[in-house]
Amino acid sequence: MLPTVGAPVSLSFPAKAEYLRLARLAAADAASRAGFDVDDIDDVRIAVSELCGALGAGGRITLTMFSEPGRLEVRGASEVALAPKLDGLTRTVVRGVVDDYELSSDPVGAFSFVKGRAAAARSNGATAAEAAQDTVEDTAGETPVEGTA
Amino acid sequence: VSLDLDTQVAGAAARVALRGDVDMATAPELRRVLDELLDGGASEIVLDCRELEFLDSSGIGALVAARARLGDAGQLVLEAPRPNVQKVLAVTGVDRELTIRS
Repeated sequence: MLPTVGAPVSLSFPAKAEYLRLARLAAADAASRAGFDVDDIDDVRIAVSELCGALGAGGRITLTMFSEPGRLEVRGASEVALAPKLDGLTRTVVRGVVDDYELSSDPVGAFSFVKGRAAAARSNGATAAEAAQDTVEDTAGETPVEGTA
Repeated sequence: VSLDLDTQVAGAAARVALRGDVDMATAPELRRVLDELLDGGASEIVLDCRELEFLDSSGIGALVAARARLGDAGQLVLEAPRPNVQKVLAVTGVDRELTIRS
């Protein structure tokens, strides 16, 4: 039987700094399943570490990773209603390593990011719609978090 | 613990070999060791990064703090950082504030 492309992988761990290493290992595996090279795998490790850290301590974090050839999407969710925050340095690092990311706090702290682009979309060549999408993604950056306590 | 720090001091020169990962869990330990060296009068600190496998923004914060405490007369040298570490240094612009040796 062929492996299912894009079958999500989930990991749940205590929201403590000492588990970030585990999160990075899992994310690196997902990135290698997407066929990323060493540099892109390193970028994913950094993004996961910084964004999981931004969810803060308390409760558990669940990471869900969707790999497909050339593209990886990672979602992280906390159990606590704490708005994730990135300080200036952290934001600079995250922006430097992923194509697009989002933070939210409704109803719990969460993030998502995307690295790469699906192989199929790339082989068809960039359409105008995709180019427009790129522009949106470049400026999206951080979604404002509303209703923070 | 996923970070080992091996420190050698000779007068005002200090050398710290980093092995493992510097992240939110271990950056406080790096910061503590650097502060101890600075408290002891170190003015040139060389960080051997050959075995440093990961550096995140909290590690960058520790390096920037040490760099600030050293002042103009002091030097903070990163020796042989791996490409992933170099990337974080470059993205944050910290590579321009520190001395990086291959």
